[in-house]
Amino acid sequence: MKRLLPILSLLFVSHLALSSGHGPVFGLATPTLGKGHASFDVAIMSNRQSGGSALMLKYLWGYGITENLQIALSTHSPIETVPLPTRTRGSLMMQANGDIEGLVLWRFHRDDYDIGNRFETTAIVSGSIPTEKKRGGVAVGNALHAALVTGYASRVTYLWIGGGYQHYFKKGNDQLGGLWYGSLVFGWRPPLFREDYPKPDWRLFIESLAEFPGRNTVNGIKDPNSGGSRLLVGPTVLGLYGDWGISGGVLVPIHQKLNGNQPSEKARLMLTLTYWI
Amino acid sequence: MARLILFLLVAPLFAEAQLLEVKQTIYGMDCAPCARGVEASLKRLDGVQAVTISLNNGTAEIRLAPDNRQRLGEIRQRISDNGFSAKEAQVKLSGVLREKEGKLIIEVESGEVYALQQFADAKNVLEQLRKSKAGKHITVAGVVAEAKSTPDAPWNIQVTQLFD
Repeated sequence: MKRLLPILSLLFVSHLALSSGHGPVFGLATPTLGKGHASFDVAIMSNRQSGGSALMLKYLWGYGITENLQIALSTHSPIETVPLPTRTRGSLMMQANGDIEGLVLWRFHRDDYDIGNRFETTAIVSGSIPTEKKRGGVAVGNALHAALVTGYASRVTYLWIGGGYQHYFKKGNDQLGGLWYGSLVFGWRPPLFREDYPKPDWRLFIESLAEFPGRNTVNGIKDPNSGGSRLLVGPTVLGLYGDWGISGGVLVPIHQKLNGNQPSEKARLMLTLTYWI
Repeated sequence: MARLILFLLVAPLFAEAQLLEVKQTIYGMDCAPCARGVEASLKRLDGVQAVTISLNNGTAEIRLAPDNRQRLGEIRQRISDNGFSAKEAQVKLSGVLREKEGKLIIEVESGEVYALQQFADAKNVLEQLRKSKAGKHITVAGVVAEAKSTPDAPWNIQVTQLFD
């Protein structure tokens, strides 16, 4: 029942939500909201490690100031936690578990070059504050993050490539290591779902995410049991019909090189339900 | 009294002078939420009776009320506000045909002015219109280009069909 509770609450909350979630689940993507449009996404995410599992609800509120400039706020509700949470980054809802983040997205390049086709580039900057004093034994401070993503959208395929860096400020003598990351997403709309609006619109994605967390500093000393690199790959799916959207998928590590003694990641799962007003 | 006389003189120029139908080509619109956003934005415009979006054709077909005061420029702005590009449009409009600075124009109630252009295959259509329809109420269909030459310029419409 404890595990069902977040899913039930997710279903309930999604009735009240409207969303911008029409891209990949884990990776960066370029779309921004239309001018004056508001959005809300709610997701349940699980992170499975060799030492246990973390489970949380994530929420994302967005507003389109212009068609190319969007602001967003992301928060979360932890349900199950692990002693050494995985350092993650990626899509707008993929900030570190435990951070409240405000984001600005600026789609500074857009070329609508044909019917159903778009090539565009978006810059993302964000700032986050932690909701916990310590994370994995490290006092955690505020953070700044910047990312860049470019790619194209069409009626048949999608491709986005992007990357960014998150810098955590010192908190006392502690500091979380900076986090470089990159994502590559390929999307495909099967022929069955290329029928015209308002027919159901389903897409399949192959997403990959590379993360390079730096070493943490604890009491002024670099922690040997922190930092490393990780490459995750997995399938995700996005379905849209009427006012409803659902997306979800899994990433599994195909490469992990973690310094010292750290729990290895087994899988990352996410399910997002959306509702448009 | 003077205002009433002026109104009575001017009113016939705008009687049933409206955009009636617009089939707007849209570039960059790829997905159902994109179409949904455009559809909702257009439906909120005054005078819009029905909107049909086609993702595969990249079009928004808009049917307008007979007494509407809607502007093509506003329709295109709504598409732009959703993050897409409005290209050429097929429009049907009605109004009184007038001649201004050597051009045949139709001014609709919203204040937008459409300058009639000769469609490539329709020789002498404009000359025939000038002779037989100037000062009369007409309904035409045609293609309006993506942009004006200047912001204050009329929309150039290549006439493809003249309705009785």
